[in-house]
Amino acid sequence: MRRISHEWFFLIPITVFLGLFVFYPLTRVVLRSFTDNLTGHFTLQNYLNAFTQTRYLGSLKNTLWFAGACTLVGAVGGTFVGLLASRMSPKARGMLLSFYSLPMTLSSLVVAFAFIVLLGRNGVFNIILNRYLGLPKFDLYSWHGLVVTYSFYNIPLMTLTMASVFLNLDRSLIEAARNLGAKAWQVWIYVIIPVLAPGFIAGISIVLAGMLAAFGTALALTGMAKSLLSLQIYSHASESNYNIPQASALAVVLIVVIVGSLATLNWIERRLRPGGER
Amino acid sequence: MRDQGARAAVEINAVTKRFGNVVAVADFSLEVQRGELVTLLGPSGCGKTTTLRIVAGFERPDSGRVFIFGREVTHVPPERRDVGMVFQNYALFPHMTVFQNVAFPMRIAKRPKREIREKVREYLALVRLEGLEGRYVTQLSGGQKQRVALARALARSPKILLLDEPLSALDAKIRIQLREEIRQLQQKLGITTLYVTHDQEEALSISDRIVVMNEGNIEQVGAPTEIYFRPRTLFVASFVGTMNFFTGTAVTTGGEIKLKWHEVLLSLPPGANVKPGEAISVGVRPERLSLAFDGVTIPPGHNVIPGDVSFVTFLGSIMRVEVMLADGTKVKIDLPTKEGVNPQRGQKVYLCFSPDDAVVLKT
Repeated sequence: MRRISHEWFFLIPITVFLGLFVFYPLTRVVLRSFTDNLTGHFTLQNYLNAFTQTRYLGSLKNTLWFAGACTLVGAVGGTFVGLLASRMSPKARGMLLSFYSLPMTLSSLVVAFAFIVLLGRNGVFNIILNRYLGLPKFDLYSWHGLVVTYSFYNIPLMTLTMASVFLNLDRSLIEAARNLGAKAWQVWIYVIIPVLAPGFIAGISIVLAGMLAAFGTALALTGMAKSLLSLQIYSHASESNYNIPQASALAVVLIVVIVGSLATLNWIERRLRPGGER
Repeated sequence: MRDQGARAAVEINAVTKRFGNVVAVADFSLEVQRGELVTLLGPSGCGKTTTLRIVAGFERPDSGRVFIFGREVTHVPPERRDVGMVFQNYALFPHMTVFQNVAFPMRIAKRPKREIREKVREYLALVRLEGLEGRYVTQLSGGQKQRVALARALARSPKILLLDEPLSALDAKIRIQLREEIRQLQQKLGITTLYVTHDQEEALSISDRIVVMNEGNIEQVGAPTEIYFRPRTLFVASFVGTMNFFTGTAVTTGGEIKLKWHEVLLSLPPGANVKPGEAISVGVRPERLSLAFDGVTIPPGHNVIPGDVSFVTFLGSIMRVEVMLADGTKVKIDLPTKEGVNPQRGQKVYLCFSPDDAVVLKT
């Protein structure tokens, strides 16, 4: 027992840190969301606004659609590349995966400018597409432009998860299924997909959570032109539209949406996990 | 299919398989008769598992052909071979219950639900796992998993059963119990079985015939007793059981061929096909050796080699004695125990064995 109490001692710094920089601000945000911007009195008006005013409802809807689309693209792309990576030689796979870890280390601003240089109105690829191939220009500053840009993060992120999921797939399960009479497509339906599902869902949880809160690159690319919940919060916290209690309420809504979707995915994952509850 | 009755259940004909530059299986031929349990025995990397995987259809041989009940299956995909296989790591589907695992082959074959239920119950009873239908395989012990794997492999009534080191992941006690059960089940069902193991004791205890393999080649094929008592190569003699070797040159003395081992002349078993001058080894099992404590009690006609007792282990029913010979060779002897007979470390003794109990191996 003595040793355990000693180990607790080492948790103090991180607990203090989390307390000061996560729990304290979070509590402040929640408390502030129930106050009036001018008087500071208790009110539910900020939440009422969040669910009645068109711009807030619209941005919530946009956030959900945008995050869903990004997750779908990331999931499909990442699963495909992950499958390819799992079939490469260990050396080639190591190279691909370390290359794929790069986007996560890059500043969102740098990524935004890189995309502007490549796919902006006068970007290299747009010039090639338009001038030499006669195709219409790609609009980077549209919703699908944002989805493409964010795929730069999401596909690698999903690939890293799915590559290890595919690598951990026990080949003998596939052989056992074949041996028991299953054709290739039946092996996929009855064995591979169900066995991989928990890992896949864990992977899309990470992507979805990130996309619900997507901010930096979207701001750098579109300014406030595209109404995402994260951008709405930012606009209320910056000078032009200063209303911290409203920003706090929107932040709480966003937190609830993220926690809710993660909890749902987690619940599904637990049910799919081998031997999980049904 | 025409002459199903006449042909072997499994016929492996001159099969060769290479992985890169490594020859995994070299010109392998074997016939397994209907209802027989044949074990492929050898150290890891000897090609036994590759051979089994070729029969299952997971590997294509580079040359040679495979027949199952007279039908050529060399290029038939695994799902159309009608063989049941038990994998070393069980390969049970982790997202399915015991019931669903055993039902899987019948579900794939689109059997009626009712038939599936009955069959699953029947096969789970066969492997003594009644009542565990609803468990997930992650909740089972190693031995239970192996029984489920066995039930699943048998559930579709395959023509032959393949077992790839099915017991190697289990602890000793369960291993012995399960191998007896597998053998009883195999005999009860009369199913032709190919069994792969590196454990010589397991092979000796359950097989009708054993195929001893080394480096992709067959060293010897025979009944367990034949493999044990009459090994034909040095490899078989040393891989299966414990064997003491006396290596030297064949010489002729008094019209009889003997082995000259250092200064000692050892008589060879009658009928040994040896020419004078040939380098040979004489092998004797520890339990075929006896000890004489003086020169008087040596049985007539026995080979005799003097030495010193260097180590004694009392094991209850037998006593394992290690004797050091003049040239430093250590010989193992298993003596039936008898109260009052206690060889002491350092004691001078005579090793005795009848030439009939020795095997002659070319080196």
